[in-house]
Amino acid sequence: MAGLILKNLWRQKVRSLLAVAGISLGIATIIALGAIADGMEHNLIATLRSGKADFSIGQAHAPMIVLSSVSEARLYEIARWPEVKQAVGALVTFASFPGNPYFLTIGIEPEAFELGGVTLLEGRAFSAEDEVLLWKIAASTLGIKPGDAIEIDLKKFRVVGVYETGNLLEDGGALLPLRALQKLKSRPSELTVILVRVNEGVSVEEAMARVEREYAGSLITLRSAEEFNKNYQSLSLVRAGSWLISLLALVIGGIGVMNTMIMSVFERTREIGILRAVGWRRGRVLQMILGESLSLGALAACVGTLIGWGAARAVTLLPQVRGLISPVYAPDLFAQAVVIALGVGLLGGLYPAYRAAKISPQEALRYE
Amino acid sequence: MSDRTVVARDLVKTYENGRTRALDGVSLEIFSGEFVAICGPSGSGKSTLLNLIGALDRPDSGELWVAGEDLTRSHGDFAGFRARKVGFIFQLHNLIPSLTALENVLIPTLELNRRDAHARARELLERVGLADKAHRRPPELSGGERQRVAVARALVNNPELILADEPTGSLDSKTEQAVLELLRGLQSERGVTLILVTHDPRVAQSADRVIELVDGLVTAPVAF
Ligand SMILES: Nc1ncnc2c1ncn2[C@@H]1O[C@H](COP(=O)(O)OP(=O)(O)OP(=O)(O)O)[C@@H](O)[C@H]1O
Ligand SMILES: [Mg+2]
Repeated sequence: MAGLILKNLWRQKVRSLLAVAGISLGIATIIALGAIADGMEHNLIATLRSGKADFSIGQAHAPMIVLSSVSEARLYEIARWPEVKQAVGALVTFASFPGNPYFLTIGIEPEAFELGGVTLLEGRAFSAEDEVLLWKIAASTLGIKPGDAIEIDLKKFRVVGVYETGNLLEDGGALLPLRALQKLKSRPSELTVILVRVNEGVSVEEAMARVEREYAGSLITLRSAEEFNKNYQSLSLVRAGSWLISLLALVIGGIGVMNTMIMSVFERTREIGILRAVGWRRGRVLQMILGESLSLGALAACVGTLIGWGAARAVTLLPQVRGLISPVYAPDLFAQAVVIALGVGLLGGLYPAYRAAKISPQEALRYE
Repeated sequence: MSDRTVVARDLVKTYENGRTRALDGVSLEIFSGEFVAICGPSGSGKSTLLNLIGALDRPDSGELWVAGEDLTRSHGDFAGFRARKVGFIFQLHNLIPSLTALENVLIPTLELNRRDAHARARELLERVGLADKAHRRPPELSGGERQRVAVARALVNNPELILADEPTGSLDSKTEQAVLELLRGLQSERGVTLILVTHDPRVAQSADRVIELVDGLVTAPVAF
């Protein structure tokens, strides 16, 4: 039966491939968007789980963490609270580096390295405003060592060390002194996030609740992935988009498969009549047609996954987003794509299979 | 009863809500191992009768017993009956074009790769003289060869009867003779009942008995 199914699809190669292409495009989009959304989420989680911080504070309603803006004054207020052991600020933004106009750059004071999870691998921390630390991967990609000079936003800096993060914006490229980055970007007294560590014996939840209470509407506290899913709208937009496209893929792909299979059943009326005449039951004919449409879906799952994987990689190679997004290919995503592709095959095949099973052998055999 | 393969009483079959009376009360008996030719003008109901005997369709009224099975019972699909008890050969396009000759022969066994079915199919292909063409597809076979494959397929499940609806209607007379001889040979070898629809009086003459239909009715049984 499996052999017959594949032969039947092979007989109408062009038509089968068109149906597969239709579903594949939907699957590719789901994979690419999903991997990018997962990548964004992963970056955010990394930021939030940075170093020894108990929680982070960002701007309420910011569409994306790099677009959050928090006044430095808030940092000083919160740092004085009795429950807070240490609070530090960081400015996260993009700066132009040689060969990459949008390099993720973080302004942070050396005192904040521990909370931020920064580990020096080579050289030393910066002590002057024209000094910079490079992330180890960025340093090796750019071929730069401590002692070299580097131009950031057309201003000359000296690389004094190479760092690695536990996870603070993993794919970030460079650390600058906070003041230097604020000046460079003309964003004085502005932060993106505040990282907070609470005193021993203090409940993290209570400290977070106090921030939310006192700065209701302007600041939010973040600790877990679910929280920013709620708070960062761009991510939920990507997710909603991905679901919408899944749905469209289901409908358009399903119609494509149905069309292909109805044509194919119609053309094979006499053949199906012969199969029934020599002893095939209705159920067997039904299985054959459903098998064909499911195979189209399975093929589309493979092709679409490959295309989507390639597309997500291609996007991350664009200079504009390099270092900002790295796609994450979660098993869930592939499972979702496979289920959707097979679902499309099944739904698209149901009606044609029903029609095929209903073919009367007597009438089909009169049909030349 | 056991030696009668087909027993029909007052079979009526109409189409298009009764506007076409394809069979208008046909009664007949066909014995096990017999070779019966069904003749008659076009539209007289020959194919309709054959289809009823082969359980491809159901009569409107009347009684019909074939190979011990009551084909007038209203429930159930007769696919199992068709697979086990009958072998069909049609005039044209008997085969599935995407399958090889061997695979076509295997279709009624509902298995394309079971060992014993395979052995039987190969043996039959050899018997019809196509052992070397088992892996060819129908478009690569001549008309006569295709009908030989159909003959092999009709026999693969060792049925009680073979129903052939103008099986040589599309062949030239030489090829026709060869296919008919093959069919007759296999029929007598295996003691199968053969019911063959034909327009050709010469073909009919070689049968044990001829049943003639006119306007949905059996005229007179003619014995040779
Ligand atoms: N499915 C159907 N729908 C409508 N009419 C049908 C159907 N099947 C058969 N008929 C009609 O029933 C009558 C008998 O048809 P049948 O095919 O049995 O004739 P036949 O003797 O086999 O003719 P031929 O020698 O041309 O094959 C014809 O008038 C035919 O048009
Ligand atoms: Mg006919």
